[in-house]
Amino acid sequence: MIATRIYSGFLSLYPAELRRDFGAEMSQVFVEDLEDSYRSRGVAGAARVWWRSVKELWRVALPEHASKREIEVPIVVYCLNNLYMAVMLVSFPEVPGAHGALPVVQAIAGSLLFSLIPALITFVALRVGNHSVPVPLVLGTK
Amino acid sequence: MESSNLPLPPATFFILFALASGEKHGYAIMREAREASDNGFELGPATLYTTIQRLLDSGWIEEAESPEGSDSRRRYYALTRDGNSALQGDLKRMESIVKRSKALRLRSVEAAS
Repeated sequence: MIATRIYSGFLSLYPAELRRDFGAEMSQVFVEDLEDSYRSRGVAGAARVWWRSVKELWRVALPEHASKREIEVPIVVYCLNNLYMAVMLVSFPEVPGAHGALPVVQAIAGSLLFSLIPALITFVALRVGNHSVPVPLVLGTK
Repeated sequence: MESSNLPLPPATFFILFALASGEKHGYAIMREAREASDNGFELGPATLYTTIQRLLDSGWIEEAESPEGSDSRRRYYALTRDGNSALQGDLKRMESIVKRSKALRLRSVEAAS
């Protein structure tokens, strides 16, 4: 069943311990709920079950990964660079000599260049050498 | 039951509430939670099993033996004494809020008349 396969893909994003202990049950419960909802409420019922599963990814799986520094730092870098690009675009809407969609394309390309590359470098740096990450200063107590 | 555990998070409350009437498997807990909340609270599989995992770890629920003839892939869960005490504590807390709100409403009606 295709729904089971897709949900298995979702499962791979959940914490390993949860998957190991309850992965099979989660899939079974999802499929039962999907079938019941489709029987009782049709496509709208099935869509509701899928939508809830996507929301759960956001609420349950993402926080687990987002707490990892390897993910956190690149996201912050990416967001800061996008913010910078947005400020630049608002401040300088007119690009001399540019017409049509060119400024937009330039902005997108610039955003990707200035945000994705530093994010990727940070990710690799953190991944390769976790020891080089500044450790928060621990203040001793007398 | 420590009062610091109260109020129980909705997922915890509905899982304990569902198990108060007897041992159940995951999907039965999910359906019971939906019915008990008048379709107001939906438990998805991830929320259900992360909460079940926490409740098992804290000893509020335990794995029960599957009834004879049931699907062998299903695991059944039952409320423990600690879990029941937590549920009773939260129900009492809700009861006292309802009583208090009723009393306040009566007072406001009196004040209006």
